[in-house]
This record gives sequence, C-alpha cells and structure tokens, in this order.
Amino acid sequence: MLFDDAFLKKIEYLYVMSKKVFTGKLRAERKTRKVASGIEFADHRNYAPGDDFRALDWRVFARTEKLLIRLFEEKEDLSIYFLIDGSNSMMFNHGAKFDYARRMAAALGYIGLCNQDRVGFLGFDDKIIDRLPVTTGRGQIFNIFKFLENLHGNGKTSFEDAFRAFCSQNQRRGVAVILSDFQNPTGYESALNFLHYQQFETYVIHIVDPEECNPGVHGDVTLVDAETGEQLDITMTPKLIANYKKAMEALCLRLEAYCMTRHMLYFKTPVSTPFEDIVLTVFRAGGFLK
Amino acid sequence: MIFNGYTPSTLLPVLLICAALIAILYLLRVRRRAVQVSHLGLWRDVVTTSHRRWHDWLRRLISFLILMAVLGLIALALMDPRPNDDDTATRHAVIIIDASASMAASAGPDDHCASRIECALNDAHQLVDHMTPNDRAVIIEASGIVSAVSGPFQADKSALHKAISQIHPRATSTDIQKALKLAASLTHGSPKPEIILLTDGQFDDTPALHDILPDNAAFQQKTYGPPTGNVAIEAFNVRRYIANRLGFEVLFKVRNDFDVPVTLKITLSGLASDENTFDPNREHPVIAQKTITVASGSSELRLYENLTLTSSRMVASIHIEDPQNLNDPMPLDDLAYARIPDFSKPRILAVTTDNLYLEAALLLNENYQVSFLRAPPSPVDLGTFTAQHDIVILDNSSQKLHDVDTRAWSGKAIFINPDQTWSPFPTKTVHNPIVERVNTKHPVARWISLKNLNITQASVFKNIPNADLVVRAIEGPIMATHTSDTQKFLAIGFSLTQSDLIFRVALPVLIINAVDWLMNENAEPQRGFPTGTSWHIPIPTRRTHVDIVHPDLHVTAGIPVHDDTATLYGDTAGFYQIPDIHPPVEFAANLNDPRESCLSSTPTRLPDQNSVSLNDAPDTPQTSPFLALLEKLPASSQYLWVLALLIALAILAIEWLTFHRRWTV
Repeated sequence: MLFDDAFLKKIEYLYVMSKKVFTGKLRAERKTRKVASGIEFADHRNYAPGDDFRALDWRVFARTEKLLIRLFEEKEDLSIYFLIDGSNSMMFNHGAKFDYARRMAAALGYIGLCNQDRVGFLGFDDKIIDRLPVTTGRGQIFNIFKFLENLHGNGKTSFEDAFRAFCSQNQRRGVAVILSDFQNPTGYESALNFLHYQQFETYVIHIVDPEECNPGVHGDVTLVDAETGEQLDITMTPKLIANYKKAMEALCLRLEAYCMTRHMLYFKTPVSTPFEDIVLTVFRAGGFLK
Repeated sequence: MIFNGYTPSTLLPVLLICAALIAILYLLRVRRRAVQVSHLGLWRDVVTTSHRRWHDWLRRLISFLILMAVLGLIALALMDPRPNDDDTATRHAVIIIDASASMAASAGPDDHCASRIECALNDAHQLVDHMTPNDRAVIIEASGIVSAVSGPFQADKSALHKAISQIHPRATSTDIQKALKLAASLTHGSPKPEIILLTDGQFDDTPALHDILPDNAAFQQKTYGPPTGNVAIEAFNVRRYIANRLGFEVLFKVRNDFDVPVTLKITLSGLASDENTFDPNREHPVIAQKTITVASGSSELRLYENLTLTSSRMVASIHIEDPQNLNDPMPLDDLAYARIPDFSKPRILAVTTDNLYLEAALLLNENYQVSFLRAPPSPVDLGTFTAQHDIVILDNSSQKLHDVDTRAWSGKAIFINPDQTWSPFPTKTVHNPIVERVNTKHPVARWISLKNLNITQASVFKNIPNADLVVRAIEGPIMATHTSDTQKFLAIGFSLTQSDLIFRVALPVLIINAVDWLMNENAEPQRGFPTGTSWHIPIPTRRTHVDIVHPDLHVTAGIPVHDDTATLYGDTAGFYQIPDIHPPVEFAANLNDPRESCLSSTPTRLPDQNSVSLNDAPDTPQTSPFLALLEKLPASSQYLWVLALLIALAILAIEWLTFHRRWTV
C-alpha cells in the first residue's frame, strides 16, 4: 500500500516540523506577497524607474532625502502544481522512482493543504496521463491519495508536450513542482524554459535510483531502453561503468546548473533517502511556503 | 613413457562428462543477458570503442580451448605418466611400532591422543595412507619378541591398516636391537629403504645404527610422551598358612617414581574362575583394602596377614588417593595377579587300633577329613582303600596287622611299622637303633627334630634304591619316601608307641608334613612368571603336548613337554591355564620390569640416518611435527591428482567468475 498509516504519521510529523522550522523566520501561513498597493503596510524598498509615484513615501524623503516605495501586503491564494513523471523510465527497478515521486508529492501536497494553499496534481509522460484539479482544505488529502494511487504511466517522456498541455489547462500561475528522473530522450531545457516563461515558479526534484547510478552488472549484456525498447549489445567493464558514472554525474550537474541560471530550485534525491528528509530540505530551501 | 595411473578406458567416461559440464558452463557464461535501463542515451554516450565481433568470437574460443586444455592436463596427470627409465618408483618403508608396556602410558598433552601406543598407531596409519601405489611397506611390532605383523613387503593398504590395528601394548620390554636387525634384513638390497621407529624411547639399549642398518637406509625415530612419574606394583604374592588353610597372607611391594610422596589405596580382589584378567567394569569381591604412603623415589614393602580367602585367584590394584590431581600414567603396572593352590580337605583313612597318639595328631587338624578303621577286615585290601581315600595310613603299632594285600594298589599311603610281609621295602628288625642322620631338606622332616629319637625296636629298610631317605639310623634307614607313577608313600620303620615320638610335638608336625607332601601341598607361595620371558612350566603328569589358555582366552595348542616341563613365552599379565591335565595347572604372570615402569627417565633417542629434514640435529629430542616424517616418506603422488584437480577447478572458477570483468581474458 502506497499511503499507509506509517506514511500518514510521517506527513503529520512533517507538517509539525514545518511549523517549527519556519517560526520566526517566516510567517506560519504566508498567503500574502508584498506589492506597492494594498491595505496593510509591510515594508519599504528603493525606488526604481517606472514605479508609481503614488507609492513614494514622501515623509521618509523629507527626512532622509531618499526615495523609497511603500510596500503593502496583499492577500492571495497560492496554487501549487505537482507534475509527476509517469514515463517508463520512472518504472525502472520495479517503479521505485515513481513510488518515491508519488509519496513525496503527497507529503508536500498535504503540507500545502494544511497551509490553505491550492494544490493540484498532474501525471504525465509524453502527454497528460491524469490530473487532479486544484483543491484546498485538509480534507482533500484522501482524494489526493486516491488519485496518486491510481496514477499509472506507460509511455515515453516528453516534457514539452506535457507542460504545454498543463499550462493551457491551468491559467492560474503558481508553483510548479516537477518530480522526474529527467531521463528524457528529447531533453528538458525547452520544457523548463516554457514553464519559466509562463511565470510558474518552478521546483525541480530530480529523483534518481542508486542502481542506475551504480550498475551492478558485468560482462556481456544487452541493454534495453525502458521507454523505447531499443537494445544495445555491450560489454560491461569496470572502465565502462566508471565512464557511465561520470556521465550520470555530469547529467545531474548540468541539470542543476541549468536550474540555477533560471532561478529554479533544484533538489536531487536518491530513492534510498527517506522522503521526509528531502521534504524538509525543500522547506529549508525556502520559498516553497509563502 | 609409461602410465602408472588410470587407464584411458577408465578415464574416458569421466572426461566426457567433465567436457560436457564445461561446455554447458561455457555456454552459460557467454550467453548475453538482457538488462533493462531507464534510458539508453547515456550508455550510448559512454560507449566509445567499436565492437569487433570477430574479436569477441576469438576471445571466447580461446577461453573454451583453455578450459579443454586444463581438462586434458588433468587427465594426463591422472594417468600418472613416468619416463621409462624411472628406477625410483618403488620404495620400501619399514614401520617399527614399539608395543612395550610403557607404550600403554598416557601420551603428552600435545599429542592429542590418549596413550602413546594410540599416537604411534595413528601415525602409522597416516604413513600408510600416504603411500603411493608403487611403494611397499612392512609393519614390525617390537615388544619382547619382534615380528613383522603385516607379513612381507606389500602395497595393500588395507592389509597394512589391519596389521597396525591389531597391535596393542604387551606387558614386556622392547627388544630394539632385534627390531632394527629385522628391519635391516627386510630392507637388504632395497634401493631406497626407509625405516621409521615409533616409540616412547623407554629402552636401555642404544644400538649403533650404522652397524645394523644398511648405508643407504634412511632412519628416523618419533618419540611419544614426555618423562613423567609413575607408581607401580613391584612385587605381589600370596601364601596359605600351614595351620589355617583358609587363611593367607599377602606380600606387596609398590614403587613411587613421582617427585612427591603418594598415598595409594591398595585393593585386593578375588577373580572368578572364568576371569583370567581384571576387568574394571565388572564387580569383584573385595578381599581387603589398604592405604599406604610411599615416599618419592622409593619402594614400600608390606605384609598383610590373616586375610580370609574367597577365591584362589587374587588381583591387586593400586589407585592414587593423594595428591588427587596426580594422574597415574601407566595402567599396566597398577595390576598384579597371584594364585593360591587349590585346597581341599584330604580324606584320610587310618587303619589303626588303640593308637590314641596317632588319632590325636590326625584329629587335631581341622583341615583333614579323617576316618578310622579299628577292626580291619582280613586281609586289608590296600588297593580298595586307596581308591576310596586320598591317603591310607596303615598303622602296625599297637595291634599287628598280619594280613595286608598290597599286590595291586595305587595311590598315597603311610606305612607305620610295616610287617615284613606287606612292607614296601625289605626290612630287618633291629633293637634300640640310634638315629644317625635326618634329611632336613625333605618336606616330611621340615621344622622338626628327630635326631635324639629313642626307639625300642625298629624295622630297618634294607634296600631303598628308588626311595628318598628321611631318617637313617646307624643300622640303616628307618624312614623313607617313595614316588612312582602310581604310588606315593611314606614308610616309617618303627612303631610310634615303641618310641618317644609320641611325647614330642614333632609327631603332629610330622603327620602334617607327611600329609602335605603326599597331597603336594606346601606353605610356599605359588610361583608366578614375569611377562616378556620364556617360562618353564612344570607339568605334573606325563604328557607330550599340552594346550595353554592365555589370559585373553586364546589357546596355544600343542606345546611340547620335555622333562615334564612345557616352555612358553608370555607377554600378557593375568592367569594362564592348562586345563586338560590332572590336576589342572594354573599360574599367574605379571609385568615385572622396572625399566618399563620407570617413565621418569629421558627417552632414548637414536640418531637419524640419511634423514632429509631432521638430520641436522641428531641428538636433540625431536620436536618437529610429524609432517617432517611425511616429507621423508614416499611422496604422496597419490593425492597429487586430487590437488591438481582442486587447483584446476579453482583456476576454472576464477576464470569463470572474472571472465566478464576482463581480468583474466
């Protein structure tokens, strides 16, 4: 069973931990953002050309001769979308990566619901497999569990096609959490760019399986691609395996660098790491809960 | 090239099976496995070398050929090829196993076996196991006598093992000289003789090996057991009392070779008639138990008196009571056997009238079953009486016996003042004879004085050529004994009532002596025999051959008897029997060799000769393990093929496991 009692206990614990972690640093339920208009004063910032003159704090200018813009808190609803890769590559090693992704999405979604965010889920491969429309309220968690348990993928990965469909279906912008192994024959750059340009705040959670990072096979083997079914006769030698490990590491570093340049938060997690640890890491990175 | 191992016809089926097995393993190895990966793109990127199919094919073919070559080499080894001019094939090993009494002692703490003989036998078995098919060996058991127990040189391991298993410690010493001489004679002319002596070194002789053994013979000794203390029974015997035939006294001597005083518990037990040796697992009637403390390095002699006999067979055993942590290493000298002659009340018939002195002397002794015939028939048939009684006394003292039929009699008799008509010897009447000489060495005259005997009238025996004189008067013999095949008698040539013998205490003693002599009884302990020597056993009846039952109940049949003596070599302590003669003969034999019991002396070590591995230290005690011996023995080529097979299998396994890793191919 994917979401058993132990899992429920863990995500409840994660919720409590998230409260403790962010006390004093961030507000417990951050449902506002600082804008130049609003009701409740929040902060100042330096004037920048193009800002509305009406927002200038003339009293401060009179005292200090500095141009500062008054910022106010504006309440808004935050939508969090979890995009779960359901391609065949995620089914490697008896679907360990896919299970891990679903558990993690459920945990993050639960915390989002607890913070009165709007949470939506989407499974995709080269298309959208299934979707759960954005919803709110803690009571929806069981619907989420049911959706995730019934989510099954079987196809090639195509981020761009799937994300285009996602953006067209969800006009409301928010946070897009992508849980995938990024084993995509067509690449991931254009798809992530597309989300970025669509003004989604993107979180990339890269799920890897230790067995694919450190293959334990030797000798003459025929490698079969999980998604395409292509075959490659190969002789596994220590040298070849070492090169493969380097290539795998380079892939991860490339993805991480790409995300950093585009202000996307990147998390790499092996499936052997307890998912609650990586969830806390996501919290600590900040910005996930506003 | 000759092949001494398996024939090709024997090996072929095995080879085919192995080849098929290797082929299957080879096919399993080269079969490609399908491995699913999440994305093939990465692998494509890292595969830089182009695959050359002919290279793979060749590599696999070479691997298969290597496997087959290894298999062929193993088969060749199994056939044991040798050059035609190999003259070193046959080697002759003589294994001398010391089977003396001291080998029954416990082994050292590092020997991992209970006794020294067990260690020696184990090592001998190992030596035989390591023989090659071309090697020959002979097993020599060296105790008091030396014999090649396995017969001549042979390669049959089962026969050699059987011969080794039958060796057990004897209650004798070791005749090391004879053993080495036998080994030398057996290996005479052999190209590579090897002599191995397995012993505890408890022998006095230090033979000069170069004088005994051939020059080309390799000799090595392995010694078992460290010097240790011991307690041993040195002497043990038992004798009856003269007066009380049911009572006896025991002589016992024990020695302590430990470096501390030892308190011993001595147990005297009786053995049943069907037991020739002491079995500690059976219950035996305990006659007496004594405790004795023996000082270090000394012997103690004890005489235990007034013991009551329950059996004619007696065994003495000792057990250390104090110190309790002291272990007696040698069991063979903790037991001793002694036998008391059978005793039964002799049936005595006294034909006498009104001779109260004679009657009193007979009735005084409770050990006699006496009957009197005071009104004898006429004539007195001596033959009938001796047939019905053990001893017949014809007393012609008070009232004359005029008519005695002595024509056909056999048995035992005492003639007192015989009449001339029935006297066993011709007689002449004399008056007031004066005793001139008494044969005090005669059993009848022991412990008594007849020198001043006063006799009124006597019959002097005139001619006694086949008789033994007891008392002689100036006029002639007046007391004599005679022993023949059928008759045994004492003749007293005077009337008891016409002498002052009736007033002396010598009369009842004379009667006792006479009865004891006639019944072949004496108060001396029965003679026992020491093991490890040849015994001269007196046979009481005329026989040409006798069968002797040994303590272990095996029978040596047809032992010739010369001069009423049978000769036997005995090497086992216990009771021996000659049951098929009358009366049956039984005697005890004991280990009585202080050298075997003395385990505290340093073992004698003979120098190695032509030794490969131990020759550098000939005079130092051997401390190297038995592997050194094995090095000298015939090389264990019999097991080389097993070793070769294991190595080949290991190589194959390594090659198979590492094939895909490109370590070996």
